[in-house]
Amino acid sequence: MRKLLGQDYLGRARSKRPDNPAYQFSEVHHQETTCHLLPLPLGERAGVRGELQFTQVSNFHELQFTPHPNPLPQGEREQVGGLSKPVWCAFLCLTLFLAGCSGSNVGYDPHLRYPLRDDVVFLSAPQDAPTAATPQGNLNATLAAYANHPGGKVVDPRDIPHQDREALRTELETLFGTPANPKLPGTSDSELVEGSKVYARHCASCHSLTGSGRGPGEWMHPFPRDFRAGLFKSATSHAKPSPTALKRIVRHGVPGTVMQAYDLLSDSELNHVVAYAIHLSVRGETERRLILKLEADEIEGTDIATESKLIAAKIQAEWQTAATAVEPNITLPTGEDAIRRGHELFASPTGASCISCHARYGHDDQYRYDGWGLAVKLPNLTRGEHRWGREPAELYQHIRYGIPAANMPANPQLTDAQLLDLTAFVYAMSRPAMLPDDVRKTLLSDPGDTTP
Amino acid sequence: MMMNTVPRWLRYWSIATLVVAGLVVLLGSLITTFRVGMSDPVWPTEPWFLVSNNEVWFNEPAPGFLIEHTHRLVAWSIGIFAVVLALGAWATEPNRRLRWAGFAMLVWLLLAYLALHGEMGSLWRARKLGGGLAWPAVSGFTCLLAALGVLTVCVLSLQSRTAGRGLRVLAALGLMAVMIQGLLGGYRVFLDQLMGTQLAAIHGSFGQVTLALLTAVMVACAPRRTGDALPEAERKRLAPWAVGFVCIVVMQLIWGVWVRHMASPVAQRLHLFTAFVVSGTALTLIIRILASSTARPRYGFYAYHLIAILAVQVYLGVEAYIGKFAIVGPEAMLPPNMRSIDTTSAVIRTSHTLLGALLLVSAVALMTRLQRKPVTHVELSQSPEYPEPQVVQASAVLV
Repeated sequence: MRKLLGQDYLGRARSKRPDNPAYQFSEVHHQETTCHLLPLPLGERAGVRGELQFTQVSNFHELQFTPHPNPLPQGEREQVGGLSKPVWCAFLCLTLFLAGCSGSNVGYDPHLRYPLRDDVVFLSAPQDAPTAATPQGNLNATLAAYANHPGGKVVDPRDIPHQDREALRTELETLFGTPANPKLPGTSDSELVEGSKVYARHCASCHSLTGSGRGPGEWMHPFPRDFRAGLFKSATSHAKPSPTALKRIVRHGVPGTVMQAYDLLSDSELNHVVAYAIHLSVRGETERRLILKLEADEIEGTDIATESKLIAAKIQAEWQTAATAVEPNITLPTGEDAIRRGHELFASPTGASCISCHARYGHDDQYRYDGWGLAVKLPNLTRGEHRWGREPAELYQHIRYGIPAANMPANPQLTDAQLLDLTAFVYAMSRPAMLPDDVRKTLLSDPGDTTP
Repeated sequence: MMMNTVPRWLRYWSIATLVVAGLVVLLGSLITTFRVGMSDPVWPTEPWFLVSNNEVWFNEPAPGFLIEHTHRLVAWSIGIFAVVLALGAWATEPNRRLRWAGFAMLVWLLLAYLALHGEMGSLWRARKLGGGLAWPAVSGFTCLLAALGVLTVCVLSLQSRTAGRGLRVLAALGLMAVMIQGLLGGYRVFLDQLMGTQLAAIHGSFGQVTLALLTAVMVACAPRRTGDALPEAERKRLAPWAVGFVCIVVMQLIWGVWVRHMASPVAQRLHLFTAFVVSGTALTLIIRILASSTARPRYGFYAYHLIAILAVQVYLGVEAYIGKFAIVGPEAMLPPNMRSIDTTSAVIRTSHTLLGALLLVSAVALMTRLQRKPVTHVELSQSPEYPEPQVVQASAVLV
């Protein structure tokens, strides 16, 4: 091995080859008296100092020219090679250590406050029936545009004077606390605090901080539930669903929607999160009613403190009444005759006349406005699209008491026997094997759909 | 003079794999932007679910559902790409026994992985609500054994010191990373009720590692030329900076993932702080490359490329930060991860994420190329395209 140190080696080479001024010296193959010079694509500057090494490779000599950095500050190489590894290691350890500090199980920031409602309050939908579902992504603008259509009515909370809004904010905070420390008369604070943590972790990404269903989740289908309207689609005989029904929805999810089952949560976690959801609903509904009253000039800013307590107490009484509801224990009639009778009630204008809305048993894409002002598609009952309860008892309650939030009417005129027949038919609609042949043919008569 | 031990089709395949991986990252980024990762809480679903299920296609027009299932479909296809890439890479192994051992281990891993998916699907379908979780123990353990088998042949390949060993090891690791990433994506849906968005953040972070590995595979597939490597001293001077740059970019991407999924205050600060470190490291590396008479001709393109990406990325980062954290109005009262998303902010955030991934790809490509050692004559002579070199008199050089 020979070393040529500190020589202006490239400059001399260039002087010998003026037609090809650039050479690659890092890979030069030397054999006896010849060497192979490989030209660089972009040229090389003259005056590079470096180190030349000959290495025996097989029967060749590999000649390697290693240029020194130009110029190489003293000690730089040691600095780059010596300090870099500890620095990178320290950085890696630090970041990995800090990664453990960004957990999300601690619930909300204690300084966080519930924001006052800013999106429009829906009152009534346009007269014309919708032809498509409400598009995702810009729900507030869609609802606000209802005011431009006949029959459509919305209220914009931003029209309320600033001092009234501030009074409303203060009073709501006094009554209902903050996200991290929620309050609701009749419910223990610790239960709500625990529920708030579960909600922040699992629910807030869709249902949002105030239970508005807005935020990132509004790009999903269907829209996440807005608790603030005080409306729910769960089967119930009262104005509000029972906590048991809400807990069932959380535990089982809502099939066909983005609401997944949370059956791995403990029973206490489910109870806590349901209590917190009720807290959000009561708070949101109180806020909604106060906004409507302020907008209609029924109350003034000074009345907010008194009025809010009255409204909250009234809403809470509805929830307490619903909590005492007993779910019906029914047994569906067996036999094809019961299903035939149920089919007649479903299709007959003098019976329940379900078919007037569920045209062709839901085969057609029909849209209706629901209680939140959303245009939603009526379910295809032959496919079992019962999102809000598919068990006989739930179907029974839906038919008897209707689904007010979906504008589905109640059927108080039906006798218990008729109701059971109708429930048996609706239950069997998505189970063709249970249907009598004639009824099944009628249900499958839709040319566009052959698979129930 | 060129040394080409990788078939041309494999080179193109590796590029296609990286392009499809970029598409997966884009779709994943859109999912996080719109928070639609749980728009279909069912997993596993068939890869062709979106196409085959007309009822879903026509009745679920929500953008979130379509994005999520397109992500699943393209992510499945990246698995196919990675499998072919790994098998193709092992086909270049000169040692016949090792080649077949590699094939056997990869096929075993693939079958075990498919069995794992199948068992997961059956367990999911058979699961009763409230019945707890059952784990695919048998297929999971088989998968683990197969992965160990693949790693063993990788070690043997490295010890054999044959040309292209790096490519084979990287391709096998890339395939395993894609498989792990697929499982993480599935469990992100499957275990959402236990882990929330934490698993989504891990899925997003590991996606960057997978992308880096596939980038390294692509670079390893490129043909070698004489003169494409730096001299030893120059390589030692630049390589640590390139490695450090990749590490910092990965860290920065992880903080970005954490910010996007959880908006954690710690992650917000670290993401901002690391942005300065990334910029500083990148500029140092770029200046060193451009100032070097030997590195500039070879890696000047990368340097200019990094400058361009960095400039746009900083701009997008500032815009994304302002759009997410520095807003006014009622939305400011909400935590950052609960604010509504309009189209403009979605485009900015997604572009920022995508460009971050592109920065990682460039950094890894530069690092991999900088790590190359000069092609020796012995290696050159193994190439079928080895020509007779130009000969000049030694006396003309060695004065």
